[in-house]
Amino acid sequence: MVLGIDLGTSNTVASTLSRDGSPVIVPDAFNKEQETTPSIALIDGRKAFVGKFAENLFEVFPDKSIISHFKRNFGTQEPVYFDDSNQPWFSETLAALVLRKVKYDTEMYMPDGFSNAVITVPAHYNDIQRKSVIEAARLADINLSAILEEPVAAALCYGNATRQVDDEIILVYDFGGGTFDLTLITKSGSNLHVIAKDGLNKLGGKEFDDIIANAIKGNYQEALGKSFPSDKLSVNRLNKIAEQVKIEMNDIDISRNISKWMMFGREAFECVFDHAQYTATATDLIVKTEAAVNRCLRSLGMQLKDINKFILIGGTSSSKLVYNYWKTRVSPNQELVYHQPLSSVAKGAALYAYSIGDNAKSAGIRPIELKSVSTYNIGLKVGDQNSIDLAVHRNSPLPVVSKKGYQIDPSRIQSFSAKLCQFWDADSDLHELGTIQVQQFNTLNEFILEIQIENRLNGTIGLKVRNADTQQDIRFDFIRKESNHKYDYQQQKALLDSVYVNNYL
Amino acid sequence: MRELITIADQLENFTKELGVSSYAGFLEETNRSIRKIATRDAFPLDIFSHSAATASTKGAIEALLRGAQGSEFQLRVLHENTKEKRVFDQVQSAVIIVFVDETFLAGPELLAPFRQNEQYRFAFFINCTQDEKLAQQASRFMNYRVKSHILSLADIQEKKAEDILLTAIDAQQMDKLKRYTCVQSIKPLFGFMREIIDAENRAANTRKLLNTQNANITRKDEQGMNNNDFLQNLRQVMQKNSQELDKNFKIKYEDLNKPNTGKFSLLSAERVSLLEDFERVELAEKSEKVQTTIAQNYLDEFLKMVSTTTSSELAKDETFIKSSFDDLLSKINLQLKSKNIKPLKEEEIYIPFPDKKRTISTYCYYNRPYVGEIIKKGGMEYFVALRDYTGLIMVVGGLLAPLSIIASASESGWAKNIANWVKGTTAAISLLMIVFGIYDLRRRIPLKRKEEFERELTKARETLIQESKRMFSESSRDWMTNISNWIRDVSLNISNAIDKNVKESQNNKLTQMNTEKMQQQKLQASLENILRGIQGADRLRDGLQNRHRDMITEFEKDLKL
Repeated sequence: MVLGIDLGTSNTVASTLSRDGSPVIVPDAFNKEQETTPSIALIDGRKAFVGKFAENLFEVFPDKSIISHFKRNFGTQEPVYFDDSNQPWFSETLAALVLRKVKYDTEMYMPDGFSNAVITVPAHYNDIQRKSVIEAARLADINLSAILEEPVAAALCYGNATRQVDDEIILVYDFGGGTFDLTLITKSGSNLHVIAKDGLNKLGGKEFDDIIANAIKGNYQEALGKSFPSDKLSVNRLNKIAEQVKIEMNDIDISRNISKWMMFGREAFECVFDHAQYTATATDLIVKTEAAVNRCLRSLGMQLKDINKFILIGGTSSSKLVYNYWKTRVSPNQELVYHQPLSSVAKGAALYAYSIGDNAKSAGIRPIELKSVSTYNIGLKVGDQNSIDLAVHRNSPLPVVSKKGYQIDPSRIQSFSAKLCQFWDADSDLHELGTIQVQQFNTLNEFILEIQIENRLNGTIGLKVRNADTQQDIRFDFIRKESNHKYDYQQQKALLDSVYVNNYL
Repeated sequence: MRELITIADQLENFTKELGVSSYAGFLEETNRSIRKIATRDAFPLDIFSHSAATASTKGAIEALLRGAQGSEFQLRVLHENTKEKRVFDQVQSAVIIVFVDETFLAGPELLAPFRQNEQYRFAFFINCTQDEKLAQQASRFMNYRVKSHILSLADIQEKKAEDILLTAIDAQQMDKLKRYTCVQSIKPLFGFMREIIDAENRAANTRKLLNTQNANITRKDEQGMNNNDFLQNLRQVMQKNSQELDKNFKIKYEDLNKPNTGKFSLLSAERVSLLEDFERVELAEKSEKVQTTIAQNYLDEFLKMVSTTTSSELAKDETFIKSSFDDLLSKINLQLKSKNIKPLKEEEIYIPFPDKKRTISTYCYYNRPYVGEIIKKGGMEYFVALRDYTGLIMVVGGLLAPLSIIASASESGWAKNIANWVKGTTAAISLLMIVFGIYDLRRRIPLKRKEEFERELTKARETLIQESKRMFSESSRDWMTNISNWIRDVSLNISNAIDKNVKESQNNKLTQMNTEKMQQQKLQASLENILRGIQGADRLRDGLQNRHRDMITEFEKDLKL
């Protein structure tokens, strides 16, 4: 059996294949109606509550914060939360909590367990963020077979359900809870070709929630003449209510204001949500996604009209607001498709997991062949230079290997360092992944130091440093961002193992 | 207001039913707000006009405001951009007086913010224009259940707000309208109560589920309390450790004691080679010989070497064995910890290590010290050496005797010549023999002396080597027996301590499980109680809401709304 996991910023969904090969969603072990797990956690001593448990219990623990949107912290190497014992919890560890819960649900749903697991990642994730997802799986004791990009997974699911997509250019528009991703795909038989990718790292349903949360805070201030309370219970409730109101606001057909009585702390007041104002602000966010779409198309010399199908996936995409916006942008001969926006990613991941597994081989099923492209430009910043030495162009077919050589005179310099960077635009969107540091050259003669950068099919980056003259590997350190709280696998694993998840793990 | 006080009382019961909740403070505050509303005398009325209303409209509003001064009527002027927010402890007016002037030409949407509240039941549209349609449009715009009345500006000339109300209701209904205003103001309460009940219900049910899970964990732990396999495994680890240690030491001492190549043999040989001379003692009964012994300081040094070497090896064993057992303890403690069993304490395990000094002092001594003899230097050496010439002397003496007889046999003739020749020859032989004898003795005695010394030295060295071999092997044997006993005793201590801690842990766990079970049962009962309370609160809420709805209906019926 296989397992596909859509580890989302707001919700996590798991899927497997039924005996006839159709993807099915793995429900919660205790509530079959519940097919998604909110990606939230609440930690109380040696107990951690994950998903709906956290959502249902946060009012019982008014002094505890609901930890949410931690997926946004992947790759930052900064703790997201400190527990009562002041132990740092990293985004990878919190994600592992959710994954453990999902794994348990799967084991309850499939008594024989699973052999292959695939977890999806946003297409625009950089190397560190992808490795964070792999690390989260490792912490959760999930034997990961591969990571797969979310839009690709959605396209696989759509392609599995609809056969007539061959030789069409499909734009997968993945507007989720915390991230926005877009991928241009063509499909031919069992081959899936990704031709371009783009996205926005911190744009998702959370930003829509924030509009509502700010409106509530504003209303509170106006009604009661004091600022919104900062206690954890009020903040937790504010976030939950904001999400509910957002869903309601996103699905209003005819513009009208919504009025709701609310209670926070000891106060009650009426909150009026101006739909027109909300729509204007929310549309600004959608416009940002359109800019990313245009940027992606421009990088291929294409225009919006060249797209045959738009597949809308992700929680935010499932709102009328987003759908109606894109309805006005596409022409009648272009198809705007809603295809299981909340579950297609997990289902696609399960399909992929099966195709690369042994069962598919023995059943004579050809594995799905993915041809992808690099998401970012990859380059090196040598020494104190500000300019970037470009090594891999974005949208290069993967896997791709690039080499960069630097003249080294060991009699003049003692060490060499270069920052590894990923970026779309070096000025506005630069991700410094870490520093390559060579301390010893093992030769006294001048030589060419060659840095080999491999962008693998799963989007991660591999590095090699060698002496180009002798072809001998040179020992180097890769130093990630300095932090006061260094991530340590053993420590985080012990921390994770020391807590009960939802009282059953 | 009796009705509201009753609701406030019921809300207190609602709070009691919920018990400890995250909303107790809010409910307390809400209760206070309801009581505050109930005791308020003010009769709130809303007046709406455009912010850029005409002078006549403004004048009419001013007149109404002046007329309301000192009365129970509390007038609030609203404009299209009024942002005043409603809070729960405010009484929400059920009446609005809308001044429709030329500013309404843009359309009645100005009233949109006040339509959605659906709080008004009476709306008076004061037409301040020549066009009656504007007021009618405005009244139609407020299209929910509002009783609308259109009046002209002239109708309200010199009148107070109360008079305007009296155009729609009679004086007896005025109090009912005021009470209705108060009662309808608490309508949001029921939404809050619903929200609180849902939240508490969710939390209690989730906790109930978690408690069931906890009970399952406890049950599983209980099943897993049989530690036989675990103990068996630990015993095997210990046995293996003891056997390996024993075996290692046997091999070690076999190697050390190997003749010729063993460390002990090599060291002894090396030290013995330094022995070059003896102590010499005169013997009374043997005047020609002296007794040889090894010098005491050499013997002491040699014994010290044996003791030090042995001691150093034994000390190494102590360190090694202790560190081996420390490692074993760490491993065992790790396994015990994984089972939440109290770790072993060193002081409970270790007994005093065998005393190496005792072993050394017992076995490092000279059992059969070397004693030898050599010939005393001087004249006696010659006498002793002459013994080697006994045969020769006898032969020569035997030969010389007949010659002497012959030499003294005759004094005449040829016999005399022969006798003279014999005398001369004999004298020459004797002289030669004496010279040869002296020469040979002087040459032979030092050689003999050296040979004898070497022989005694070899004998002394052999004796020392044999002694050291005995000391090393006996010390080793004794030591091995001691450490074997130590290992056996310490292993037994570990085994006993594990058994004790496991039993203790099992007992603790059993107690803890019983406590947990009791706590779980208590929590279960408590949660059932909470859920019953929530059900009770829900029923109370339903009752209160029905009662509130009935009150509203009754008021609306009385007010003919």
